[in-house]
Formats: sequence, C-alpha cells, structure tokens
Amino acid sequence: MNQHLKERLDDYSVEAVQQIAVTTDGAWRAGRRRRRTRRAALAGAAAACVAAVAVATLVLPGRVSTDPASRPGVDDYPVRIADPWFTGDLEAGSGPLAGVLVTIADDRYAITEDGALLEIPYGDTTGDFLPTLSSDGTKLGYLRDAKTYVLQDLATDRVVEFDEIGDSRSDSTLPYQTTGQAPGFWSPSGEQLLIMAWRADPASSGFVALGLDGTITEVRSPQRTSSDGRVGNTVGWVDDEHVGWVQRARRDGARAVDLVVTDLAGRTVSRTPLDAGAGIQLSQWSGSLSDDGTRLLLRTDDLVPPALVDTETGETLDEGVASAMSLCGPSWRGDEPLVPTYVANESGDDGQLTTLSGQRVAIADPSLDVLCIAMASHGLAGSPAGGLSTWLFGTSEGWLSWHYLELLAGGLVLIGVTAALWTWRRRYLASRSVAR
Amino acid sequence: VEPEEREFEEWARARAPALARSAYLLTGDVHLAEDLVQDTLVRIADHWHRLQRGSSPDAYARQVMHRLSIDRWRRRRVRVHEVLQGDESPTGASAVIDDEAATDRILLGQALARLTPKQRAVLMLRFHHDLTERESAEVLGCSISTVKSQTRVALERLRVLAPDILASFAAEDRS
Repeated sequence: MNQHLKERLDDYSVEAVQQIAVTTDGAWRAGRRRRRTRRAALAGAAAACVAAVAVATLVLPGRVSTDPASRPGVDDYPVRIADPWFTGDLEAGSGPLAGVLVTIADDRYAITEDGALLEIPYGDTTGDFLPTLSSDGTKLGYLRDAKTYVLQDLATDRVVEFDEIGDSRSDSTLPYQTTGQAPGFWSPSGEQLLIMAWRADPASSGFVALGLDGTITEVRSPQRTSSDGRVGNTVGWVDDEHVGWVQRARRDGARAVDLVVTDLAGRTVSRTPLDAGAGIQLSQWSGSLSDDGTRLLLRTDDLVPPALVDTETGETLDEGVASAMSLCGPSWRGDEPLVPTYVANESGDDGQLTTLSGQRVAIADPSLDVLCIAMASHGLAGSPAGGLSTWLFGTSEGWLSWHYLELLAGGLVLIGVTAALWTWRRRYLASRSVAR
Repeated sequence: VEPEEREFEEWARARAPALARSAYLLTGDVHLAEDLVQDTLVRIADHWHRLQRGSSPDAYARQVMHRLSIDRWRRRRVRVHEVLQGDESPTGASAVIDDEAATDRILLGQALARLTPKQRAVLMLRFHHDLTERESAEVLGCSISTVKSQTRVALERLRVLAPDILASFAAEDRS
C-alpha cells in the first residue's frame, strides 16, 4: 500500500506544486535578522537576570548612599530587617544609622534606614556588649575590643577611643572596667554617653559619662536616705547635666519605686514617687526615659507588662501587653515607647518592635536570632522605608516574606538551566537529523 | 554576496520543488504552503552556519517544516477557526469533474484536510518520504508509539473519509 499511497499523494500534489512560488531572495536576510534578534534577546534576558540579581542584592535592602556630611541625622526607619546574603562593615562614611541589632551569637550590626546590616567591629570581649545609638542616629558607642571603648560620630566620621575602659575580665588592668548586659544612654546633645562602668582602684560608683571630647566623668547614683549608700539604676538623661534614676523606696510599709533626678555628682534635684512598680525587682533594664524626659517606661521582668509613666506626676498612663526582651531597652517614637519583643512562631523567634498595645512597627528576620534590637527615635518619627519587601509584605512574619528573594533567584536559575537544556536538546536532535 | 549566502541560495533553489510538495501535502493549500516553505527557509538560513558543519540541511528542513506546520495549526486553532481548503479545485455541486483521476485527487485532498496536522505529518513522513517509524518520531519530536498510533488513526480516518481510494489501494495490492 505504501507505494500506491505515495503515488496518489504525488499525483494529488503535482499540479498544486507548480503554483507554489518559492523565493529564496529574502529568506537569507530574514534568517540573518532572526539570528540577530535571537542573540539580542538572549543578551537582553541575560542582562535582565543580572540586573534583577543586582537589584535584589544591592538595592533590596539598599544602603545609605547619601553623603554623610549632608545628612544631619536619620530621617526614616526600616520596617523589615532581613538576614542579608552579604553584609558590609561599618566604615567611615556609613552615615547616620536607623538602629542597632545584636544577635544571640553576639554579632553586632548597625541598621541603615533601608534595613541593610553593617557589621560593627569588635574583637576579643566577653558577651552581650550592646552598642548604643543616639536618638538622631549619628553617634554610636561600643566596646571595640577588651581594651578599647569607642565613640563614633557617623556624620563627621570622628572617632574617639578610650583606652582606659575595657572589658571587666579578671585579667584586666585598665583603670575603668565596664560590663555587658547593660544599657547605655546618649545625652540629648549627643556629646556624652552614659554607661555602666567603674574605677577599679580606688573603687568608684558604677557609672561614667564618656565625652566626645575624650573626657571620662564619673556619675554618682543618688543616695536613698542619709544612712543608705548610693543606689539606683539609671534610666537616661533628663538634660545634658542631669540624669534620671529609678530607686527602690518604701511607702506605707510596702515596696515602691521613686524616680530620682540628680546632677552628675549625685546630688538629688527631684524625687517623684511612682504609682507603678510596687513589689518589683529593679535592675539595669528597669527604666528608660523618653528623649524629652517627660515619659518613663518602667519594666520589671519578662512576665510583668511594662508601664508608661508621667515623670512629672508619677502617674501610670498606660500599660503594655508585650513581653519584652530581657537584655534590651525600649526605643522611643516621640513620647511613645516601642518595646523589643519576640514573635513566637513556627519559624523561630523574630525580633520585633511593638507599641505597648502590641502593634508591630518593625520586624527582624528570625534567622538572625535577635538578642536585642533598638532604633533611633528620630528615624522612628519619620516614615517607614525599605523598598520592595516592605511594600510587598509590610510587617508580616510569614516564611515567604523572608525568602522571596531566594525563591526568585532559584526561579531565575531554573529558567536558565531549562532554557539551556532545551537549546541543547534542539541542537542535539538537529545535529542527529543532519548527520543522518 | 557572501559565500554562505550563495551556498544557501543554491541549496534552496535545488530543494524548492521538494519543499513545496511537502508543504502542500502538509497544509493542503497553495498559499499556506508558500508561507510554510518561506518560514522553513528562514529557519534554515538562521541556522545555516551551524548546518554547514553537518552533512546536509535536508533533514533539518524536514524537521522544521513538520514542526512549523503543527505549531501554526495550534496557534490558529486558538485564534480563529480556519477551515483548510482541501484543494484549490472547485468542489461541491458546481464542480465539474472531468475524469476519475481528478475525482480521486479531490477526494484525497478533502480527506487529508480532515486529518489533524500530526496525522498528515506521519502520513507524509511514513508514506511519502519513506521514513521509518523511528525516523519519523525523531523528526516530529515524539515517541515511536505516538507515530504508530497516529499512523493507524490516520489510515482509519482515510478509510472512512475516502473509502474508494483506500479500497482501490487494497484491490491493487491484492492484484
């Protein structure tokens, strides 16, 4: 049947074939055009892939690129702090920062306005030394190594090193020693940093103010009664010459807490009994003053909600519902405290900043294993920043919101491999046909 | 004119009749066949440099033409429903059929037009180009079993659509 069907097909087509006009003139030029177009499209696709990866890694989250000298302070804050594929170092010209973050593994990062992380240098120290950022994001204080405390002006790139203050290890012979797991407080002018530190010999009180001019000023805590020693935990600066303290008191036979304001020599200027705080155990994390000194966030421990207090009257204005991170102080947005807490979910513990009512303001990648996160109040008073991820996911803690870039990159690689295999297969089949 | 271009045009002129015949058998329409040949030549020109390293571009041309034919049909099907004209010759009540051969051509053309492009393609490859099932499968980029099944279905449909022609094949075979 084969031969007969072939003859019928030939017979069927013989007349029609004579009517078919085959022109070869334009085919070569069209083929060349097609070849060029294909190559241009391939080059374009490759460039688009490279651009997409570049955008993903360099812009999302981006970096502070403005000249530091032209930026007097931080203006915005990041909503999402992702665990980056690559981190840069905090260097000269990094510019004002939006916050700082310390991980459980004791990595210390500066957070830019766009949510990028820059590693804060540190050497051989014991753990949990928390960097302290000023309210405008331009001053950073941190223990760089066991024998050097550093104050860095990020706007002018001025660095002041204190060789007299170091880690309070047993082998330390430095005049002043400081310790981890303690907060620091920048003065309102940003000229002094108050930290927990003490003179070894002769023994001094437990706080010093480090000045950008290189001075070290011992700050004395208030005296409770004439017979007591000097006790109290600092809660920050009231102004450039006065410091606030929370101090245990006793009223009507019950435990209470006073807010005491002193000068740097420890002379009491005012004492305000607080409504909140009966029965609490005070620690270095018990209180934090707002920038203007009108509000105090009083914390006790992880299980007791923090209380927002009017520093003039001592009244409790609000109470939180959040369980705060134990080794981390609050951040401030004006007179509103933002509490660092954990989001317990299936993927791990995401560090976050929330309002007292629990509303999430910023969130960190759970893979960072955050120990403490703090942000500059000037940035928090601005607008949320952070680019595409913020726009897409806001403050979501979902797995996809932290891994969409990996998925995107994986998809691009898969498309590339598939395209390469498809092209190879076509050429292989074509070469086999041609060889035959 | 580049040497490559000259070689391509020489090859294209030599192969034009065969390409036109294959295209017509695949499409059943003169104009569609012209387009199909032209598109095939463009694809050949596109890859001419690579094809020159092989022994012959004929096999590649066959492969491209059959796949283009099927692709074009698929694209058309989702746009407008296009009824292939089985033959340029007039059909229906007004047709004037002069002789038996012409009648057979019209019937065969109408029957082929009712086949799917893939069924037409396997018929062309198996019975016109005399390719084996394996070779046909490689040209179409499908499995051998697909070629077998498509061939069986195509012949069954031809028996239904043009019983006289298939019967005449069988009669001639028996004689």
